Amino acid sequence: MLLLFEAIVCMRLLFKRRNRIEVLRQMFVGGIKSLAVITVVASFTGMILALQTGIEMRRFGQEVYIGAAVMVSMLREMGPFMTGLILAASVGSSIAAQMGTMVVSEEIAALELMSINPVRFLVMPRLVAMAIMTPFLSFYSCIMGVVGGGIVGMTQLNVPWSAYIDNATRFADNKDLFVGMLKAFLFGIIIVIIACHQGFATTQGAVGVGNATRRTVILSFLTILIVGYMITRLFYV
Amino acid sequence: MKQSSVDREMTMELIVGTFMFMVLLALAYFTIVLGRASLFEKKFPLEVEFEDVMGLRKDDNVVQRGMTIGKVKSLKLMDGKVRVLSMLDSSLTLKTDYKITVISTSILGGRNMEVKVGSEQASPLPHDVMPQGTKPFDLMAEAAEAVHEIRLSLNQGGILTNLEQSVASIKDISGKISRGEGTIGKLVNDEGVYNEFQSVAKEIRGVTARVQEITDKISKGEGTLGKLIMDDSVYTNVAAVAANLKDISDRLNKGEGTLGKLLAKDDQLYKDISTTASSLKEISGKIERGEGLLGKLVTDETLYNDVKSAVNEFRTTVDDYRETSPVVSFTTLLMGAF
Repeated sequence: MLLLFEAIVCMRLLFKRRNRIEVLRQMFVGGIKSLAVITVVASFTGMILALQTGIEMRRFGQEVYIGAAVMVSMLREMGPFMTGLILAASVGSSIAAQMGTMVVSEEIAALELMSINPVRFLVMPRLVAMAIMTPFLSFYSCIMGVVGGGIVGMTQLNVPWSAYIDNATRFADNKDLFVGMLKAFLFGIIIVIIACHQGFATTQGAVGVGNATRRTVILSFLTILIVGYMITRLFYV
Repeated sequence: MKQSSVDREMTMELIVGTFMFMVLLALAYFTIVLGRASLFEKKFPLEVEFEDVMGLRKDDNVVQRGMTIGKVKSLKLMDGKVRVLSMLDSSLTLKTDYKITVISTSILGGRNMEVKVGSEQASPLPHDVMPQGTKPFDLMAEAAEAVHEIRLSLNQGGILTNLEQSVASIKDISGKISRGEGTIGKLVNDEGVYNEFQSVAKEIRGVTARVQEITDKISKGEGTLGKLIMDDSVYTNVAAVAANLKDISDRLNKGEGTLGKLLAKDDQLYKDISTTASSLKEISGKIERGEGLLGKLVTDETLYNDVKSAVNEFRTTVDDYRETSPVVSFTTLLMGAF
């Protein structure tokens, strides 16, 4: 938590060009490079959702409503959740390994020796980058999921695209969209904070780095699930 | 080397910027679509008051003849009623016999506001009149009420008690039957009754055979009944008699013959007979009173005696003539020869 506060305090330094470039670089590394995997995972998530709900709903002749099911579940839960898991597994573990290696190789100590705040220099750009990118990636995954669901609807369930989109937009609203993006925003912060914390707390050389990476992924997954549930409860109950 | 680093940074910024820009555009589009905001289309408001909206919600469709023509924008509780504001794609002119109601879209839920503008002959609804929605038909509520009423009638109306009593009676009756009590019980349980039924059935079979035999004879035209049914001559005779009777009645109607004249409408014959009778009565009266020759003949004894003596004398004269006629004839012949 202290790490988070310190990173937030350091955000005033974001106006410096050097820091902005670092943030952009982290956005590129953490976000753009994850687009491929997010595209595949989100598309198939939408396709599976459409197929499973469509098969059941077809028994009642209501398969036309799969658009609503896919859109609402992607916007509310699956989009942010899948994005969070992907980023925790790829970006979170990468940050933890990077920080852990720097700790083990005493690069962090060297930074401190040069009076460079490692939080400002290492944590803040990653935090800002992920806080910005995760909601956007989450929204992107929602679009991919809805498109994937629509393709399944058209090809497997004989649901016309127009009917699919009409139902998808009729049953979802802006609250679903923005609560989902809020979740993604918090997931991005959680992933970076856990990863940086685990990285900075690394001991015992290469084994410690491995442990830090493993713990980052596990803790991120658990925290994402718990925070996701709490936000859902906060906004929908 | 430095140029390469700058190029790489530029490329990175370009990619990130393009991605962010596109996602922001998509986000803006989704926000507008999901917010059901129409920035460029003109909408026409329609406010309706309902007693009960039966779960109608914001963004539910407004339909006319099954076509979506707008959406419900807001619902407010005002003065014990619900005021529903909807935004329509085109303006509607409500007539005085309009009908606006809340309908169910499916059995799973969902509501639409249905608008029927009214007939063409009706006059338009004045602009200052707030349209009133009719009370919606809630299928589930109606079904629940029906079940409640059935339950009430079962419990309070005595139907349940009657049913229980009926079941008890049926049980009692079936018990009696199984114990062989009463006619049906004996029928079911007593072998003797069965045998009696058997013999009755045998007799009925015999009667039936006899009836069959009679009908066969009738169908063959045997006996009086058979002839009546099978022989056409009886029918022909009866028909001829009927024809004769019809002919007679026709002649009577036409006033032909004595009886016809008697029955004729103009009463001429009756009048003639009546006149004749009165004349006869008058004549007989005169005779009785001794008037005229006949009266005197009937009543006067002396005239009778005179006539009698005259007849006697005439008879004597005739006898004399008969005795003398051969002499006369001979004398005549003799004298004639000279």
